[in-house]
This record gives sequence, C-alpha cells and structure tokens, in this order.
Amino acid sequence: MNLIDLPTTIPWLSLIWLSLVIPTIIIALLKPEQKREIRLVGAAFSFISLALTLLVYLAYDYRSPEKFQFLEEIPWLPELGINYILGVDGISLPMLLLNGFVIFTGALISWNIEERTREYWALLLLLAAGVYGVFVSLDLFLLFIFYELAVLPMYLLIGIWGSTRKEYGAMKLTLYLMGGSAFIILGMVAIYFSGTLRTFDMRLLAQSALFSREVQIVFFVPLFLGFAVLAGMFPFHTWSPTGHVAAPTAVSMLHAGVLMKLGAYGCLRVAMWIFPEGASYWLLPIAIATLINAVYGATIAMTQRDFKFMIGYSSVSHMGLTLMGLAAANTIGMTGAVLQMFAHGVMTALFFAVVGRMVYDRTHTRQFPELGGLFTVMPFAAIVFIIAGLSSMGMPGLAGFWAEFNIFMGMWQRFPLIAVLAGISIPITAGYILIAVYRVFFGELKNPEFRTLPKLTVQEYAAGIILVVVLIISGIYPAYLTEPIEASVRPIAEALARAGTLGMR
Amino acid sequence: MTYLAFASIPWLTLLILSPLVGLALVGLAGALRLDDRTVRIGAAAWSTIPLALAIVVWSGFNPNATADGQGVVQFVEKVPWVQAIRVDYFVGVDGISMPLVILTAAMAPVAMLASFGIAERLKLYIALMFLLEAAMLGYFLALNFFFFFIFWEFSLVPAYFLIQGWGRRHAADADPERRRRDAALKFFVYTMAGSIGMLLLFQFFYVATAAAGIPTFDLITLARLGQGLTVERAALDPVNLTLREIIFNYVEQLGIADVLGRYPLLYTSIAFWAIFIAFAIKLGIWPFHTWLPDAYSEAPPAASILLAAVMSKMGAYGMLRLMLPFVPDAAQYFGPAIGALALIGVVAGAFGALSQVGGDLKRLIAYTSVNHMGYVGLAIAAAATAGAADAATRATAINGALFQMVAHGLSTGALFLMAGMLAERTGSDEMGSLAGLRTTMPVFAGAMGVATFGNLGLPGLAGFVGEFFIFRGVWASLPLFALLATIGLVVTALALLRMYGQIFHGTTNERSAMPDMRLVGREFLAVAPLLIALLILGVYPAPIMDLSNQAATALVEVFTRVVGGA
Repeated sequence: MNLIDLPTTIPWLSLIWLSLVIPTIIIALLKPEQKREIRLVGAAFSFISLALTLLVYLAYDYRSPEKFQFLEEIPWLPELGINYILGVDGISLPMLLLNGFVIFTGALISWNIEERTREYWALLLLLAAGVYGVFVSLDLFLLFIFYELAVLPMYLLIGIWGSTRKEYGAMKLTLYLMGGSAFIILGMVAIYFSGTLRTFDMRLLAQSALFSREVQIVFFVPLFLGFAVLAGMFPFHTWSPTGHVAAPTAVSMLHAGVLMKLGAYGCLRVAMWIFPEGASYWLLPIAIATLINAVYGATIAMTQRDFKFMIGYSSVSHMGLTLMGLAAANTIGMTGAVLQMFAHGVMTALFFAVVGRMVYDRTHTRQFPELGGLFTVMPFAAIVFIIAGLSSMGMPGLAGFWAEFNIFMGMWQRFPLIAVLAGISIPITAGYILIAVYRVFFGELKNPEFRTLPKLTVQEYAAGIILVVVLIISGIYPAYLTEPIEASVRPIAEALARAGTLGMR
Repeated sequence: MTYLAFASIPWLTLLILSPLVGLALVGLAGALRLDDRTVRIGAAAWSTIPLALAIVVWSGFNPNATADGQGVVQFVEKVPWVQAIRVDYFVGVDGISMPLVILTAAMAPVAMLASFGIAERLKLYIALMFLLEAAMLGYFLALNFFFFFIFWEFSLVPAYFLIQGWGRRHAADADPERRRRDAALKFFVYTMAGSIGMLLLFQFFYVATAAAGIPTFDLITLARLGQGLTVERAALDPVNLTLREIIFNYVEQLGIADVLGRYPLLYTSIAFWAIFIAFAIKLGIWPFHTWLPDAYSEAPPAASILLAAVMSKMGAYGMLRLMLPFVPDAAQYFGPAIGALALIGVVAGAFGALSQVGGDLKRLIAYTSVNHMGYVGLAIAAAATAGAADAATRATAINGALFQMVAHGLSTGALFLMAGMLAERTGSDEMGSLAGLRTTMPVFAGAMGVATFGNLGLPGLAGFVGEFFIFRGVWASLPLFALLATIGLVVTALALLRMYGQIFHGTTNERSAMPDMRLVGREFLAVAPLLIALLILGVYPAPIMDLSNQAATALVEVFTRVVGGA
C-alpha cells in the first residue's frame, strides 16, 4: 500500500545520498568566513534529504510481493561482480527516515559551531551521506565503501571539535571500528570465493549462492562481529561511551542515533541474511552477549557521574536489546529490533541534543553534582529530556515500548529464560533515568550563575520539537513502521527458521 | 459476538479524550498567558465534562444484560491498531469497570477544587492532573492488553511528577525535596518493577495463543478462554481449549515441561503470581505496600486524593479483570494464601494507623487505606477460594469489594481533601500541634466527622455497606479470616476516633485560634458532594451495587466447582 506515486524515471535513492554530497562541494567552495551561508546551505540540503526520504517512504508499497523497490542497477566492475545496485525495503526504509531526522536536527544543533565551521559542516554532511549510502546499497562492496565513508569522518569530527579527552576518544573509536572493518573484509572475501557465485549482489548471495554449512558457521563470526563492534556489542562496546563523551553534540547524535544502527543493520542485512545457517548456529552465544549488554550497560549507566557517560552507557544497553531482537531470529523479534533501531535513534539524538547542546554548551559541566534545578532555567530542555527518558525506559505510548515489547516477545519464543533475565534492565533503566532527571533538572539550583544562562535558540526548539513529535507519533501509531518492517523481515526469519538447527522443537 | 454490545456513538473514546482536551486547553492558556485564577477555575469547570460523559454512559448502561456466560460488555469500540501483533483499540464497560469509571470521573473535579492552593507552575500542574485522569479512565475502559498496559504504566508519569514537584513543603524535616523525590521514585520503580512480570506474561500469552492458532491480546477473549467459555475465532477448526491447556501445550512444546515437570497448575500458578504481584503493589497488599504511606503522605493534597481514591483501585480492578478469569485454577488454589496476605494487611494497616495518632495526619490516613484495601483483597481471595459457597455468595464478596472501592474512594478522598485544607491553614500535618479545632471551625469539624465515620464503617454511611457485604461474602469460604479481620475493624475505628479527638477536642492552642479558619465556598463545594454521596449510598446503595451484580455472578461462576481438576 503506497500513499503517493513517484515517477520511476528519477533515481530517487541516488538523489538521497547525493543530496548530502552536493552541499559538501558547495560548502567547500564557500569562504570560511561565510558561516551563515555555510549553515544555511547545510541545513537546507539536510532538509531536502529528509524530504526525499519521506517521499520514498510514502511511495513505498509494502504490500507488493517485490520487497526491494526503487531499484537502480548500473554495471560498475561487472567482471568482479561489483555493481552499483540501490534499493530499499521495509528494513532500510525506517533507517533512511531515521537518518533524515537525525541529520536535519543535527544540522540545527550544529548552529553554534564557530571554530572551522566550513570543515565541520563538510565532514558532518559527508558522514551522513555515507550513512544514507549504506542503507540503500544492495551490493556488498558498495555497502562497504559507504560504510567506510561514514566511519572515517568521525575521527576528524571528534578529534578536532570534541571535548573531554577528544584525541583518546577519537583514536579508540577509530581503532575499534577499523578492527571491525578488518573482520568485515575477511567475511566479504570469504563470501566472494566460497560461494558458487562470483558476485557481491546481496540479493543473489542470499537466495542462491549455496554456501556450505561449514563455511557459513565459520565465516558468519567475523562478518557478524565486524558489524557488532559498531553496534556496541559486549565485550566490544567500550569505545562507544568514550566516543560519545568526546564527540561534539551533533556528532554524538549521529554516532549514537545512526552510526550504531549501521552496525545492527549490517548484522541483519549482511551477516544474518547471507549466512542464515551460520546465524542459527551462533544464536545462543549472541543472545547471551546481548543479555549482558542490556543488563550490564544499564547497571553501569546507573553508576555514572557524568551526564553524557550515562547516556552513552544507556545506548550500549539499548543496542544490546536491538541485537537481542536479532538473536531471537523470528519475525516478531527482528521487527522489534528494527523498530528499536529507529526508536532508539530518535530518542538518543534527543538525549544528546539536550545534554550536549542545551545543557553542556551553556553550563560547561556535565557532572551531576554540579548540575541541578535547571527546570526553572530551561523548562523546554527538561520536558523533552523527560519524554525521551520515558521512551528509553519503555514507557507505553512512546516509540521505545513497542520496540522492546516485540523484542521481548521474540525472545520468549526463542530463549524464554533470557527474556525473563533481560527484563531486569527495565526497572534499572527507569531508575537511572529518573535519578538523572531529578539531579539535573530538579532539586535546588546548585550554581546561581545558571540563572542567567542564555535562552534556547530557535534551532534548538525546532530540533527538540521535531524529535519529540516523531517519538510520540511512533508511540501512538507504530503500525506505520511495523507493517513495512514486518513484511520485509518475514522472509529473512523464514530463511533462518529453515536453516536446520533452528525451529521450535 | 453477543457478549459485546457495540456503541453507535464513541462515548468512551470521548470520555478518555475529554481530559486530554483539557490538557490542550491548558497549553492554550499558557500560550495566551492567561492568569492563574482563570486557569484554576477553567480547569475545575472542564473537569466536570468527563463527569458528564461518565454519567451519560452510566445512564445508558444496562447492568442486567448477560450473554454467553458473562456480563455484556457495552459501549464497545474496536478498531484494528497494529495488525502485525493483533492489537486493537478496544474499549468497553461492564459491571466491573462501570463503578470505577464513575468514581474516577467524580473524583477529578474534587481534586481540581483541592488544587486552588497551588501557586507555582500551575499550568504544568493542571496539565499533569488532566493527564493522570485520562490515564486512569483509559485504564478502566481498555480491553486490549496493549492499551490497558499503556494506561497502566502511563498513569505513573504524571503521578511521579506531581509528587516530586508539588509535594508537601511544610515537613519539619531538613530536606523535604529529597523526601519527596525518594517517595516519588519508590512509588514509580516499585510499580514499574512489579509490572514487568505481567508484561512478560502477556508476551508469553501471545506466543502461546499464537501456537494454538488464536494469537490475541484481547482481555475479554483471554478471560473467556481462562474460564472455559467459547471464543469467537477466525480459524476454521474449533479451539476447544482453555487458557490453562493452551499454556501447558506451549510449555510442553518449548520443552520447559520436561525440566520443570508436567503439572499444568505450576504454569498457571506462575502466571497467577506475575499478575498478582503487579496488582498487589498498586493495591497496597501487605508486604507490597511499603511505598504507599510515603507516596500518599508526600503528595500534594489533590494528588493524594487521586492516588488513594482512584489509583489504588486500579490494582483491585486488575485482579478482577485479569487474575480471576485468566487463571481461575491457580486463583482457587492460592485463594487462602492471598486471603492471608490481605488479612495481614488489614491488621497491620490498622495498627500502622494507630501508631500515627498524634503524628502525621496524612500517614495515618494512608495506613487506613492499607487496611481498607486489605478488605478488598480479602473479598477477592474469598470469591476464588474453593469451598461450599455458592455463586451468589461469591458474587456478594465481589459486589462488596467494588462497593468498598467506591465508598473508600469517597471517604478517603474527603479525608485527604480536608487534611489538605487543614495543612493550608496550620502549615503542618502534625497532629500533635492541633487541638480543640471544633470551636474555631465547627462546620469543618462536622464534615470531617462524617468522612471519618464513613471511613470507619458506621452503619448508615457508605463504608458500612461495602464492609458488610465483604464480611458476608468472606464468611462462607474463609470464616476464620473474616473473624480475624474484625480486629482490623476495631483498631481502625480506634485510630480514626483518636485522630478526630486529637484534632477537634480538647483546649485550643494559640495556633488553632487563628482568625481565618472558616471554610470558604470553594472548599465547601469540594467536600459537600462527597459527604452527600457517602450518605446516600449508605442508605440506598443500589445505584452502585446493582451495576456489578450480574457481571460478578458470571465472573465467580467458575469457582463454584473445582477448576481444572486442581
């Protein structure tokens, strides 16, 4: 069912990622002093990209038996089986929407970057263009190129514009992610040489490449782990909170909001889709690791004194739940996982917008003992933070609830004990969020200087409102996302169920 | 489906939405920068709209309609919401929810009138009050687990912020902010942690019913399955299974039965306790009540009214809606255990109240709530316990419990309201500093007297009717418990009377002789309807009592035999 029809002659998906490369070039041509123009160009094009993703979303027909739509196929290196193939399905569609929302609000939040404005904006947009590229690629090689394009600007963005041990954070993040990439390359090589087809077209690989069971079991591991590092899976999560804390606000938003989803998306789209038997073999270890993620991440978040570290660990905990949904390897669980990627992306972008921009850039501290009573100073920041927090703890009526509900239900069908144990993370999350809300926004005003903090800007209000509205709409009527997601996840779940060791006893 | 009577006009949706419209109006008032006085009066006036809608529903409700072995659910609206996991927007009222809907809609205007003393951040406060009202109304009306759970959890949010942000300030304690925060946090985390078991359980129900070919989150369908009644089904082949069999088949299929044993009752028992704990926390059943005195006493007066009068009833309602019909075998088996916990609550609550005499007035009222909700728990336990009692006697217990909920809502609401008025004048909830107020505020003393006697169960007032029916219903299946519970009756009466004596009798000290002690018209307007309702229902309980009788009789029918061979 699609709400609008788009002309098929226009390469919509290429336009989406190009819509962020074009402003990068324009910005590079502008003078560094033209900060106002740079910001306007960046924000305008990120809005165009958001509008394009919305158009594609509205035109996508999830009832159609053809799951991949808006296909574009151009031969690139056909002799090596590498082609420029783009297409979206119900899994990549919510991710595109998410990236559109996060880059647009991230652009609004970046308004106050004064140092090397030009380079900052160029890198930020390039990063988001890479993310778009990953979500629309159906060729594994192309996907990997976009993936690297998204990861590399992070290093510079954190290293130059970051705070709190930025060099350390940037280096740690980059080394971890490069390590992950090495694993992915290993997996890709195995895919290329061990299958019956010399191609990187993932649709063909998933359907008819006929990998032997042994190959799948062995090479699923590097492929999955490579992406899982980026998703922050235990025990490879430690780069993530450090990176969050060091990054400038908009980069934190993109990092936690979208980049970590690239990891989870890769786990599903690449590792689990191409190697279903491998996936089904390793489900239990993955499920256990994600259980640790969820519960341990939440516990560590509770002990933090630094506001941003707390949010960073809460991301680890929530990404654990995402991967847990994937580990359930059934339609409900994986629908929940994709929905959780969307919900957590929006929510955590909101968190970082409040913590990094609204609070830290004004008060210059993130330590809980030094904050307090900010509700009277910035009620808007408090209210949007509370709404994001409620979504984070899985409060029904907000996006996070539906995601977690589906994930837990999927886990019930797979490993009931893990579902029960993971339930512990819910009250812990409620606890640390409520405590943080109290420490930062309520109680007495610790520092009298806070009374005279600058007011919130129009851009901050706009970003906050957009993200809150998305959270609430997705919470009240999640079907607009779950229907396409479910339709596309179902064939993957069926493949996993067919893969031998799986299936209910 | 003859047991569902669909509505031609979506009254219930309007009822749930009406407080939310109030919330939007408060936002509008904020944008227009209206002054606080206008907002207060406007909020109080708007809160009568849900009441009017509830009365419309009440007048159109037919309490005698039964079909297919259950009371007919009326004013039903059912719209598919999330197809993928069979979630419908499904609302309706039956005899169990109708009294509580009326209670909720009636207490909201009282709470609004009790909010006139709020000065800071008034618009936000009013907005939270409307949100709380909408959540509670939605909870009593929702019949799909999803919406039920959404409203259940979401009611915590406004309550949390009301306690934390506007709780009492005049505590003698050094750090009242911290106390309020701790009370609010305890309340929130307790309830949320308690409901995780229930959330997991419903996910389990869904996957188990999906395995049986009828995936559902529909509370009515699950209840019918639990009671062994026929269910309307989409699949062609008939499903002649009870929920107990569905659960057991599924755990067998998962292989859990090989590990834990092939006892169907074991699995329904796990389900039973998951549901019971979630609701026992809300209801304040011993030993899950410890958050309750803190939350009730730290909350601002209007929130105390809504918490004690309405929110605690959410627990009892959940037990009646979910626990008894879903897992009747386990409910029957554990009836005496639940009864014992409730009995301890009855007695401990009474002594807790007694220990507060001369101390904190709001804590005292909170402990009497623990005591009174204990009776409700006892009635529910008695209705389920195996024994010779017939359906009519068991239904009496349920009717008594529902009536007690309404009566307790009215009397406790009035007590908290007046405690708030008193604290506004004297600046303290400490009874020790009060004495002889009867001479300075005679009308207030009279009103408080009616509420106190209504609360302790004086014949002629509503509290008596509820307790009388509960004792009559409990006597048949748990006679010893009924006998022991009378201790609670006596001790609560003692505590409340000593409280009354402390405040109103004796010689006046200089603070209580302050000149501005008389009630103002607005306060009188808030108290009077509650007291009148207590009197009327005490003499003529039929308007509420008759609502639930048919539904309750159908609900307990299953307990007159041994369920599932347990």
